[in-house]
Amino acid sequence: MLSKLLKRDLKKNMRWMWILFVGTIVLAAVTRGVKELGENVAFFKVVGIFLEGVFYGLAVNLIIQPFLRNFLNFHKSFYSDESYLTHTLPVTKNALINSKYLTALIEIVAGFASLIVSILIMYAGPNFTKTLKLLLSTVITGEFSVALAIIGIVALIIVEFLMFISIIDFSIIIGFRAKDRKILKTFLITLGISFAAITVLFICLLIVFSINGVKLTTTSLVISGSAFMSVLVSAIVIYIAVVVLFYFLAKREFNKGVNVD
Amino acid sequence: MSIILEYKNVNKNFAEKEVLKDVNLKIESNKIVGLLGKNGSGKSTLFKLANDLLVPTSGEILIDGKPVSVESKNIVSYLPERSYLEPNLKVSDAIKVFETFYEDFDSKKAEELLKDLELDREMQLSKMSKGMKEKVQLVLVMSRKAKIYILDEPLGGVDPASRDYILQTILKNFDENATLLISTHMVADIEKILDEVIFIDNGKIVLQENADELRVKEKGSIDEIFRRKFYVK
Repeated sequence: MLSKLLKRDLKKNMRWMWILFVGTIVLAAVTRGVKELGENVAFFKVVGIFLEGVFYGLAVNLIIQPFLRNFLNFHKSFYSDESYLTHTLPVTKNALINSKYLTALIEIVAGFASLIVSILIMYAGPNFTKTLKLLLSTVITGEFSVALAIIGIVALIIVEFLMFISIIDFSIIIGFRAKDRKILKTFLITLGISFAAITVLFICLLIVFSINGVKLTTTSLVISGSAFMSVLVSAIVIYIAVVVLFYFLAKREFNKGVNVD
Repeated sequence: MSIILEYKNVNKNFAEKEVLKDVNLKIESNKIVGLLGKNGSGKSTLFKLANDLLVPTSGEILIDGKPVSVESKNIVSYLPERSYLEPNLKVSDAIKVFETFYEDFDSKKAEELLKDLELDREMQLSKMSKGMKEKVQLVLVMSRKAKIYILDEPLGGVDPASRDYILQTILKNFDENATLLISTHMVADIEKILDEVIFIDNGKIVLQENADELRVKEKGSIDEIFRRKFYVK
């Protein structure tokens, strides 16, 4: 039944989102073409700047939309009118939750994949790696792998989004148990848990900084490649731990049952 | 006859408000049972508890002898009082959802019912009136070969002219060996089909009796008895 639920959730969420994913990639290709033409023709230069602006707007949406849609659909499926169908389907509550988490993971990864592909289409060239290295060297010093650093940063952002989704989903389950002011209570619970999770993250990162001999009091925050990677890995591990914790808590609380209005 | 649905000492509170008070109820199989009560008497809450949409504050609900679970959802076909289908779906998409999740869903029967009720399977739900959407949901619910059909106010959004037709559709399409539990405050519209009646008032079951015996005993129609009992003019 999980596969059936997953298919339904993905179909529902991706009904419009695939247009954003494909559209951004296509726009990246068009923008690159127009920008290349713009090297010789002023008109295309102006159009290229306009298209690049639109591209950035869509690129941000590639990340934000899957995030927003996932917790909005979580609420819609489990606590709105649609829940009258969801909760009466002959499937376990675990399958319902698992389907939502897998949908979130797939959509966020797909969003990032589209973003990376479109950025590569837009900017890949002989100087692309050099530019990235230059950009990263504002925070990393010495020898480091650009590819590894980029993979690490992308993985960190993905698990960060997953962490917030798991916190919000858990907060919805708890907040919607209340008789009134459900959205306000959900918001406050999300805020509280997020604050606690980020505090834990910073404490752990400060420990990692300290181990690597990085002093935040100095004016420069450039750190070595190895220190950068250990900070990234530590943050990813902490975020994954929070995701796993709230996944199990959400499952436990959801299995106690819901009270739909 | 076996007991298909049982409420044992069920209480349901919403914050301070007691919505159901120590409900004890046994519904036998192969019967058409009317759950009758005024608006806000607790009819929908009683149904929602049997469909895993609410958790009882205390007490137990058994369906075919087992607690509410995936197993019970396989044998209960529930029509809620509101529209639960995504508005951007077509009728044919909604049928696909039911085909996917319910093994007992009869697609052929659904197509026939759509035809009978003059519903276009390619029409989008968002373009339908409330009454049409209710008919679509009724088609989906009645196209299952369930052991128990729980219909919450199935005539609520339907125009008076269509009510008889809807009732006939319900009667024609539910399995003879199944139980039909139907709630309404429009007693006159459904009383002729009922084998048994349950009166609920202020969260308490105040009466459960055979419909014919009740008519003889109280010398009147169920509608009259209902009005007398609840002082509705």
